[in-house]
Amino acid sequence: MPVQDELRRLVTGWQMRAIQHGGDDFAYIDTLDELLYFGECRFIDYVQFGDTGSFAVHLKDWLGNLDTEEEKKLLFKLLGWLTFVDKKQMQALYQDAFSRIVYPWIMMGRATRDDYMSPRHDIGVLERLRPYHFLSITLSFNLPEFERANNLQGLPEMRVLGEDEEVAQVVVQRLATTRDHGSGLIILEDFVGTGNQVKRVLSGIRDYVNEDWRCLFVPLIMLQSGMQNIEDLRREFPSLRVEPVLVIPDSHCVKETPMPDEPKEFIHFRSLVRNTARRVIQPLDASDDPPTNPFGYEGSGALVVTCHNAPNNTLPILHHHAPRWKPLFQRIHHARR
Amino acid sequence: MRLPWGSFLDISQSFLYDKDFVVLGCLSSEDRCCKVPTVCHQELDDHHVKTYLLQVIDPPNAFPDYSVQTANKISEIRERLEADYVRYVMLPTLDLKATEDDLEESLQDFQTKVEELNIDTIVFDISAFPKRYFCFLLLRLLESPFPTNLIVTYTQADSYLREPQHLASDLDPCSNLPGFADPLVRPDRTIVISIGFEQLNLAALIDSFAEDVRRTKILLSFPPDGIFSRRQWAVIRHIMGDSNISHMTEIVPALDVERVCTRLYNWLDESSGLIFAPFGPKPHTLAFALCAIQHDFGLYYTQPKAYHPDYSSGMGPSWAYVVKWDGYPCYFRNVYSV
Amino acid sequence: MSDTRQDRNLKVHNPFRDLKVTELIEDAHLYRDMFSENILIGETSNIYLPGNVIVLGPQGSGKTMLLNLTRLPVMAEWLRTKRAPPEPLREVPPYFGISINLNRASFHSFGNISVAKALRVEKNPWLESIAAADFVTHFLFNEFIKGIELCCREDNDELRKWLGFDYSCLMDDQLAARIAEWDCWRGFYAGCDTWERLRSRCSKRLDYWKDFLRIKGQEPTWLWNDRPDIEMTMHSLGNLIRELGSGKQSKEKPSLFIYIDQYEEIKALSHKHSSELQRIINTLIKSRDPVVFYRIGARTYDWGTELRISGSESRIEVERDYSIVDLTSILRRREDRVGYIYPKFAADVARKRLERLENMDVSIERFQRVFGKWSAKKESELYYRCDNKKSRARAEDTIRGLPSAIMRQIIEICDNGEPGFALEMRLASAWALQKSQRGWSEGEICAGLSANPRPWHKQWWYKERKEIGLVQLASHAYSQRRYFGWDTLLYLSGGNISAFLYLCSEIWDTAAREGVDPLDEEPLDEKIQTNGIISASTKWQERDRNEPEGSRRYYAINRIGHAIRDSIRRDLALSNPGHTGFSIPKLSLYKEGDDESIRVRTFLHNAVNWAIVEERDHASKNGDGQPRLKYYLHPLISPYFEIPIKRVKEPYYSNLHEVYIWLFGGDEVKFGTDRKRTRLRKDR
Repeated sequence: MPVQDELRRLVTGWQMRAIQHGGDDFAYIDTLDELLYFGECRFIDYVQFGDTGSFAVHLKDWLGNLDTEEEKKLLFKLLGWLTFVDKKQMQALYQDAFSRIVYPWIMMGRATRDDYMSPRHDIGVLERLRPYHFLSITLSFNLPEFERANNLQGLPEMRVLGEDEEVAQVVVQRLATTRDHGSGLIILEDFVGTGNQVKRVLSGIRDYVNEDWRCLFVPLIMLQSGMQNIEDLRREFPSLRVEPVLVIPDSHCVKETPMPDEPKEFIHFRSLVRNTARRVIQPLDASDDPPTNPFGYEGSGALVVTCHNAPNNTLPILHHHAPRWKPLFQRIHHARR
Repeated sequence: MRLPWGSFLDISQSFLYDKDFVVLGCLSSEDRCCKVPTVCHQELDDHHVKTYLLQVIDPPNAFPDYSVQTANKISEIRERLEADYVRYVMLPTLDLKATEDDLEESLQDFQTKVEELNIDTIVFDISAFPKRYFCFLLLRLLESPFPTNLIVTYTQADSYLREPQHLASDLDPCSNLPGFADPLVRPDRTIVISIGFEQLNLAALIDSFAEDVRRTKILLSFPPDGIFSRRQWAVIRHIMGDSNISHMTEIVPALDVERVCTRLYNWLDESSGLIFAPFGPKPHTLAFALCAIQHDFGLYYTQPKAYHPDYSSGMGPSWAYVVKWDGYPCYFRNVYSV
Repeated sequence: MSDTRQDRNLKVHNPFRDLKVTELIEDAHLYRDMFSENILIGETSNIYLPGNVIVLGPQGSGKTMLLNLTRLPVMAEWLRTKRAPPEPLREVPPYFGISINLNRASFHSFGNISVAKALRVEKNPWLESIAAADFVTHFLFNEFIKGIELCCREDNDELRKWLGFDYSCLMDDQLAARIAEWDCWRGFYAGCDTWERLRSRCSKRLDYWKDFLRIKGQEPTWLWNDRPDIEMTMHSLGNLIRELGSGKQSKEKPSLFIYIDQYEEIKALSHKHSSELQRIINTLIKSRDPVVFYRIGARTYDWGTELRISGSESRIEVERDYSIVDLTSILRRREDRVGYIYPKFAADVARKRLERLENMDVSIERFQRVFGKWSAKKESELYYRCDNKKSRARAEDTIRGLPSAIMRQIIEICDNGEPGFALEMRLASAWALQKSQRGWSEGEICAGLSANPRPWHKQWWYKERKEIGLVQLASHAYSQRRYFGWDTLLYLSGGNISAFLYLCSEIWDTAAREGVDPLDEEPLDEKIQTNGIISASTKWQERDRNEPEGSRRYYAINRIGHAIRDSIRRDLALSNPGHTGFSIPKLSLYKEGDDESIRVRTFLHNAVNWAIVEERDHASKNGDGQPRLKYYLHPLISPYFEIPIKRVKEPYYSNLHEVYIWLFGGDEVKFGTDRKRTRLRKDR
């Protein structure tokens, strides 16, 4: 039987029993239809699915991690809260980052009305951009894709700062001390969770930037819980402007302690995460860098997956491959040296 | 096309610093209807700003009847405007289903008042205007010599009414938005649909263009968040079924009017004409309207008669789009390719 | 059967999901393949005969499907591939069919954008009318030219043959020059001596109107002198078609058919001027032109509100100026079932879809076998099984409210281990309750129960109560009511082909979720049929919400539907099995100038239009002789509310005011026997 039909049979049974016994009005069948539809037209963008089977196969295996119907249903319901950023949405984020944040920052106070209206406007924008250095914090940000999405040609080669502040300092120092040291830094990153890493790296480079530089940091997706670190960063690094494109509120995250305004189902998801913690965060093998917290890095509890990867802030129950746990959206991690 | 846009404050600093201007807005039950007038009076030089507000009322037979709650909310908003010392003039109230002639009369009346003030710049805040109003007014303001300069503004809401409640209901049959008829059947066209929160009988609209349309393009917006995205996809599945239509979909940021226009021009190159169904966010509708005005295309919609008084709440950032400057609509401004 | 059927994801291949009825219109090939000729008999064939015809029916009844065959492109495709018209139309004179979709053409905008204002003269409805007429005239002329061009296509030789057209005559520019000189144009096409020039000049006029509707047209000063006479123009076009059909005998010469679509939307979209616009169309019908015939499709009650012609109080009259083809009465099940064509029609539509989209040769009988046969006994067994001890014990709950001696007797008589025993018990206890309420003694009731034949088996008593008995059994068993069987499907669709396709589509989808191919099952599991039907019922109710006035309908119907359900569940004596609908005196519903009457009538007419409510004449049995109308919820939404789908006996006798409160009031609706019981208790 095709795996989709197996899933339908499973979920139809849940729905029928829910109707018979009453008290559970969740639309299991409709949700499965939606997920399978997304599986074909959106989740298929998830790079890691590559040769490892369709979304439906992964879903079946993932639900198969648990034995009881109640637990499976809870795991299934969790997907109703998932934010999956597909390829086209990712491109839209790149475009929004540029049009709504980078571009006005470049033009602000430096462009006249005539500059805005000029037929040479697009050429002028590139000319204004060229003195800036484009960087990302990690390798996971797809800088070439960002350029393509925004039709940015002729810019200097984009660089990676890296997660190590000392390495980042060297990168910035080199840029600051070249003959034509440019006008500033435009730093991009695809996902910022708690902001600890970002704060560490960017605070670290503060003393290496030129006095006349302007600096902009644009995370595409950021968790609300990272905003405190961002506020600290703004204080410590006044010439750095920070503007996330999309902020995921705390109430959309399954954290260790309940958040105000979180959906009522999250209390059950929390229990599920705790009950499965031991299995989920077990290291797969020697090369694994398993999560230490079943609620994700620093307990972020995010329910976000992008087409490139699942961030480590996202609940490991979704992404970690353990000896007795199959993931739905397996995360690719990079081992620390 | 060259369409400068950005945050309202940034754009006003670049374009309005030396101008007297008039704000034309819509007084409604949505909090965001007062953002732009308030910012203009508080943060820009109050002496150079005059605000006119129009109130649009649901037809008397609209169902459900929200007239009492809506009137209460509007009173609160008026109090808020007064508390913020925002001076404004009320234009005569109009029915949501006002005819083209009624709309034209109201607009001429407004234009006359503004011309008497010797002001040639209008800031047109579309945040709370129904689509059938703002598209018509945009058409007339762009095509007539007055005003010389036209900036459209849009304020985001903090949040929208959540399901299972409906943002709007009691739909009319599908028809063209006033001023945007395209009555002749011409084959080999592309229907471009922007998707919003609710399907609003979009299926019936698509049906009525069966003979014209050779291909369909669906425009989604992103950001904002995943929940909004799911609602959009639910609408798509409702009208298109479960076939994989990802090849027909494009995603453009919700506020990027210029980028939407660029996509539309690309699609226009591939077909003999476009038909627009603007069911998505207002900035996307603005892009559709600009393209429709430039090329004489039709805009089609199923107009709700009843708008929930809690349609949206709160006020987010405000954005401005310079759709006309020095008498030139944005689509007549050329850009050299990079 | 194809080998690949086993491997496919069945959900993707739902032959009923892929196309809606209206989607067929865009593709004439598909239309031809899907069109069921079963409906083209009897009264519906009038649509294809000379004469003005108004086709009425609720949403989804198939009007568009039928009227589409009057259009030249569709007939051309038919003839191109099948080399002959549909069998029932082979004896019908040919027709040259052009059309206008009034909504698509923005006809309603005339009047909303005032010509008088553009001409800077005083407001004058007559001016707006002549502008609208001018637009329609040139629009139809443009369609006419396109039709001639279609006839000139090399591969349309069968079409030319059918119409009796000679190819060389059509191509002749002299013909174009002749047309340009017609008096009806008042010189507008003067000098257009080729088809190209005619088309170009016509486009210019239509472009003017397009600009006008976009508020940028110049003053139409030419309108005073240069407008064509629409009736004269259509007549001239009709005469030309006759002349071109010279290849035919006199009786078979082609006529000009003009299909006017979306007539009913004028009213909703143009509040101030809809009457004037409708009168333009009425004037054309009134002309009773011998060579031009009009077809209009309208929802049941969207026709007849404005019958006057332009510039006069004279009205168009049915049978004199036009005839009506009422799809409701044609496709609705009648008591005598004579001439009931709907089952064959529905099955044929389904079969064609399977044939075309699944590449399968499926006979009507095989398709019917997928759903099997319904029987009351079979359904009863689904709630309480005769071969299950626990089930039989639980079934005794269905006979509550009676003295224990009577209950024991019922159990003894009915619980015989035979299928359907639970329904027997329910009906027997209902009969006993009825007698008890009429004052029979325990002994008399026991004696009655033992009679042979059993009193609850009396033909009409049983027939009228078996379905409501089953509804109650399902409720007692805390079970969803089960729906299955070919006949059930037909009942549920209520003679509405769209409803039928909806049902098939949802059943197919439900089967796919279970990994089942319906065509492999004879019959398909009743659980799958039930779930599909419930899903279709919910969706039919929900889809109406987005239709015009749908919000109000949804609210009111929900109130009434739930009230009917509660009333039925409580009627354990089954005293009023017909109280699944209500009736109102006709006179009170059509009272002139009465606000309640207008509002209730408008609501019910809209509900009929949108296939949410069904209406029938009702011969009153309460002795007053007053004609009444009875109303039921559309059968397809009955499962949503868990009420019986078959109409039996007398509906609840209501009155205008009561129905007004149900529809527009805010209090809880009390329906039928509930109210009576309340009254009885109060009297004590």
